[in-house]
Amino acid sequence: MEKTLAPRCKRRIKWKEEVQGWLCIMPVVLGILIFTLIPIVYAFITSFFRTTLKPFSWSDWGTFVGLKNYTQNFTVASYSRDFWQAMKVTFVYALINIPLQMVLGFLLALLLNREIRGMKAIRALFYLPCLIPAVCNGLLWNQLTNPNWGVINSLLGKVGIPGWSWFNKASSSMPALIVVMLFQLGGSMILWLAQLKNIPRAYYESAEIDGASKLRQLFVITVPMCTPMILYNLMMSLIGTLQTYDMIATLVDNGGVNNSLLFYVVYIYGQRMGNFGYASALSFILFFITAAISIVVMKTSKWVYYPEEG
Amino acid sequence: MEKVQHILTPDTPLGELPRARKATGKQLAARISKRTGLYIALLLLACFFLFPFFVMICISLLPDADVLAQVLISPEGIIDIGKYAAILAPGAKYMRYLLNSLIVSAICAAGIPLVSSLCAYGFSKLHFHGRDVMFSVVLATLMIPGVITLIPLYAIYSAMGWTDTLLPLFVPSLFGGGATNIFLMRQFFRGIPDDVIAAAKIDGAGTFRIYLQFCLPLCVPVLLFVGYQSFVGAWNNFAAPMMYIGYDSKWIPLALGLYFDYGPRAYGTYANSAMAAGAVMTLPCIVLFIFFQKYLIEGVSVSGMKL
Repeated sequence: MEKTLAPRCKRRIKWKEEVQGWLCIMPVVLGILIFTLIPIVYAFITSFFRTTLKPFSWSDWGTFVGLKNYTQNFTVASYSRDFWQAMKVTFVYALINIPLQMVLGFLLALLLNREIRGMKAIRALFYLPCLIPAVCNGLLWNQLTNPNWGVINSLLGKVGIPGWSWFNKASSSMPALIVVMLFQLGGSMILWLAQLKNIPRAYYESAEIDGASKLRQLFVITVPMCTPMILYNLMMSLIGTLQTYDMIATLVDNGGVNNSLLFYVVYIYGQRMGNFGYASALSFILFFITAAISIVVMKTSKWVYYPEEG
Repeated sequence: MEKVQHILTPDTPLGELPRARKATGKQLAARISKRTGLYIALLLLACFFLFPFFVMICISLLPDADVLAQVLISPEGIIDIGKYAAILAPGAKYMRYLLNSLIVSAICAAGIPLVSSLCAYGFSKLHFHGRDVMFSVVLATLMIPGVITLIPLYAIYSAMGWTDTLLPLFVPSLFGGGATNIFLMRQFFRGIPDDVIAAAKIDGAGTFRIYLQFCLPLCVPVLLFVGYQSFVGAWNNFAAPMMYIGYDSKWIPLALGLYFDYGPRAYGTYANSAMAAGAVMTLPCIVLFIFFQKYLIEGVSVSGMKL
């Protein structure tokens, strides 16, 4: 009797609940449809055409070129040069900057993770530079490092550090960008601090009783307990870094000296007007790269430790 | 009497009392010196982090004559607030930029928390077919790079006549409010026990009344957090206005105006005007941060828990 009743109850659809549920999520359903799905399909179709960016029309798609927008990154020298330069810039920056920011942010959080008077204010001071909008930050460093009137080298001279070419030479542009980004460490520090606060005191107390040194406590308790944040931070930084744009656009003109700061998205934006089809193809390549990296990171995330059920 | 006697019994190690006190005194001194050392180190580090602010404000207060002299403070000791006055003068084009930015940010700050909480309520507290599939679709949009939709949307908006207006800057975000915000809100709603909602239902409250009168008041902190994030996000947004709004439009928001006037392609700019404009754009972010600091930390700890 029960066996027959249960599935029948399950199968009966409660229409009121269905309608109410879908009404609630209707904004996001429509939003994804209109502002994500339609443009993506449009961009995907366009990526097989040679066309300029113009108002949408059903009749005019440009010239069909097949996969050429994708393959010319490998075959046509004038495109492949910039494409691989953009790849190189983006990945060199990601490989250096993300680990650097994570480690230094973590050390900073360890330093600030103590309860002394005024600590809240000190933390806020460290975090403040992250509140400068990327556009303003780009303009600020553009002005500071201007070869004609930039202040930074004369300031460095006053404390005995010789001047540097900053963004005015191809070879120093990337190191300069990484130095400038050090001022943004507060952002990852705040995330680390939130995670450090979640670690129960008792773990350290029992480790202390067992005679574990502070360094050992760090590697046996703190770091494993922080792994969820490491994963989160890693994913967010990867996705964010691959899309670096605002700061670079306001910092240097069009990818900097000799394209030394030609980030991938900067390259896409440079191509969008005259070469809409190619720009769409480039965006899809970025999408596949992002998805591939995210999947690899998530699949290899066995090292993440979730204290409660995860 | 007995107590006193007990304390003064010869068994109590009298000699140790003063010595112990001396040791704590030493320890205290060591602790104080260690603590002041820590404070000094932290303050020095803080000075490093505050350097961009300091420079920005110093340069914005320089008179025109000293801008090219590569100094932070005018040698004659002049503090010139003329650049700020020029930005905030009535009728100046910066007032227009500011107004445009304010319109967009205010709409986003009010709309996004409401819309995303409604969606999150659907995803966490209502039961219907396709709910979990739809939620994975929403989360999947996180992985889509913004640039992939921004460029084709330009073609669509310009066919609709939306370019050179503020519409593209806030209408899309009012549809759902973004995956991160929905995710964050959903985490919060899931913390509300289902029994309580079932009880409200038995009392005769409808689904939407439960959302409005019961769930929303419970998640005010996270609403404020999302509102703050939305405001700052819209305020700082550069890629979208860059895409949809041109030089001669009257709907240029602040971020784009700064780029047009003082960006790497603008010539003959003065550093002090640029920095004053930058400081004006940064100020609301800092003021809001100070107000919302508490919710910010809470929100981060919620959003950062599990991915």
